[in-house]
Amino acid sequence: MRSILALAVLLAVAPLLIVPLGGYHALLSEMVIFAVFAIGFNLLLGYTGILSFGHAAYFGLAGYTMGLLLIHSDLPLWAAMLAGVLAAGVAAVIIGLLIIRKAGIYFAMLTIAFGQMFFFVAMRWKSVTGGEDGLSDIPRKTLFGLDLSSPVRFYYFTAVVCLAAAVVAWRVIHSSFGDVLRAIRENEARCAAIGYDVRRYKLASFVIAALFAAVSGTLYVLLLRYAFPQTMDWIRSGNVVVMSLVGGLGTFSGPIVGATLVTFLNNYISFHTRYWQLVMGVVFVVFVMFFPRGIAGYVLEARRRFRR
Amino acid sequence: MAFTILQQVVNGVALGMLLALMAVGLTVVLGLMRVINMAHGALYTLGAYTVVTTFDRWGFLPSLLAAPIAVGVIGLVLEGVLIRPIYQRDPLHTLLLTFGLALIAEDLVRIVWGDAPYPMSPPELLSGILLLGDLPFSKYRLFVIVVSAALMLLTWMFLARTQLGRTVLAGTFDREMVRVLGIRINLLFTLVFGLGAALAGLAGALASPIRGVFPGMGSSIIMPSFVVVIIGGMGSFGGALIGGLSVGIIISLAVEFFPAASDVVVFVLLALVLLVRPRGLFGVEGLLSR
Repeated sequence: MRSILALAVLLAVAPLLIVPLGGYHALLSEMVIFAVFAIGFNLLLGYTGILSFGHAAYFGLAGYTMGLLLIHSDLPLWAAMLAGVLAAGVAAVIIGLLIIRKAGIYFAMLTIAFGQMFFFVAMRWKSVTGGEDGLSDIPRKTLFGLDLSSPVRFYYFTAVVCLAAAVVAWRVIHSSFGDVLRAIRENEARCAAIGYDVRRYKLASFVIAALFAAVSGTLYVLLLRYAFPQTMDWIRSGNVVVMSLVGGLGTFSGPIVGATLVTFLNNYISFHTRYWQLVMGVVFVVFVMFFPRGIAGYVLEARRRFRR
Repeated sequence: MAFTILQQVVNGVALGMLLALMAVGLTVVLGLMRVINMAHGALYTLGAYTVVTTFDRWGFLPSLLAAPIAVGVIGLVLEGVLIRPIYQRDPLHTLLLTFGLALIAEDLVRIVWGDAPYPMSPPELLSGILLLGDLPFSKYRLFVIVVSAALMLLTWMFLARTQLGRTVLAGTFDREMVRVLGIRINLLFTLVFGLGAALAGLAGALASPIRGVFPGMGSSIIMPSFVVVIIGGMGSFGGALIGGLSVGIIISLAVEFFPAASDVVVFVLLALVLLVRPRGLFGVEGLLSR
């Protein structure tokens, strides 16, 4: 529980630190939003050992669904967010059922393909999604009467969601369900031989990660008040994989570290050069080649050595 | 109407052959090395830009020869320097590595050649239309079909008829066995990666007069290429060909008759194939599912 407490304190004081660091509150919100995405994704990739390259689809689908409801209906914010998350959850169940039998890189390729399907639908279904232009001027509305219009307030809203996400992930990891996920990662065949219905657990992990992505996606659209096709792109799916790797796969704090760092870096670089893809690409390559265990992985190991 | 369909089928076959050239490289690299090469689209882009660079000096046809050579060499270097050290690791790592490389390559192209698309026209000899009976067809597209068909045939002959090629195929089924038999499989890996890169480079060069030359051209071809690999069945040469043709034809027909859905039909096809044949059309039982 110490990590949760540390996270709560960090989230609370972060607005005081971000401005001296050259950031701004909206950037902080963005960092926290992607942390939610990565926390869920880590349950799938880090703990279950399943690589998906298409979870941006659920991120984007939830954002679009919520955005459309906020624009075209009188639903309150919470209901629109919930609807967005549910829509993404249903999509994840359907696609998951179709592809969960596949393993390893075959599975990864299928997730890329199906993820990209959502991207193209968003691009082409102009009458509903606005095509390439996306949905703009999405109203933020109020949450249970709470006004979210100021950047600081909105940040604290995302921070509370992020903390909740971390608590949920913590509970999942430290439950017997989480143990089964880890067992699947370590040896799927043995896990099945013991009698666990491996497919159902994998599907559950897939859908849980999609739900986290969906929550993150609704927050992202609320932050920008804008939904656009690139939120579903495979590049974004790749980004969350990279966040998990940079932070440290299969560690609790890894995805949070990775998401905040990558988002901050992304923002910083794209401010200074239009060739941010180049710089990010080099960062990925360096991490994959030389630091595959991620920041949290190395920090944990250093601490273990120090204690010995 | 019937002619429009026929014409779109021809366009589709041309696109399909390009996709097949892409998919062969992807699928053999995948089968043999267990590497999902996300940078395969970037190699295609580099092929097209090779033509852009050498076009003024050498003309179109020699440039068409230069592209696969240049890109093949790039492929050999990438494999030797970056990919080889991390084969032993989880396939996730090579996938992320090539993902990073794809990002780097796209921006490098922007830096070297700029953001603006290059219009590319086929040489005099191949532009315009050819009358078959009294039906007009685009000469260049027919040229693309003939050249890619010849290359696919060569690749197939290499894989199926030569000692080296058969070793490669054997490696896609069981690389441990191949290694145990005393074959230096690492050399095989380098060779196959270079060959795949060369085919991608050639596909990009061939595509340049049809689809235009722009920095994002690689990321727009990589998805349909992946779909072709999955539909055809991973590691299958015939699958890459049949998958490429069916995807190419379906896209071209959709562009004509249902343009809004032209990108999405591919994925509908993918879902259908997976429902009926979970391993793809020619997927091998057991391969890549362990």
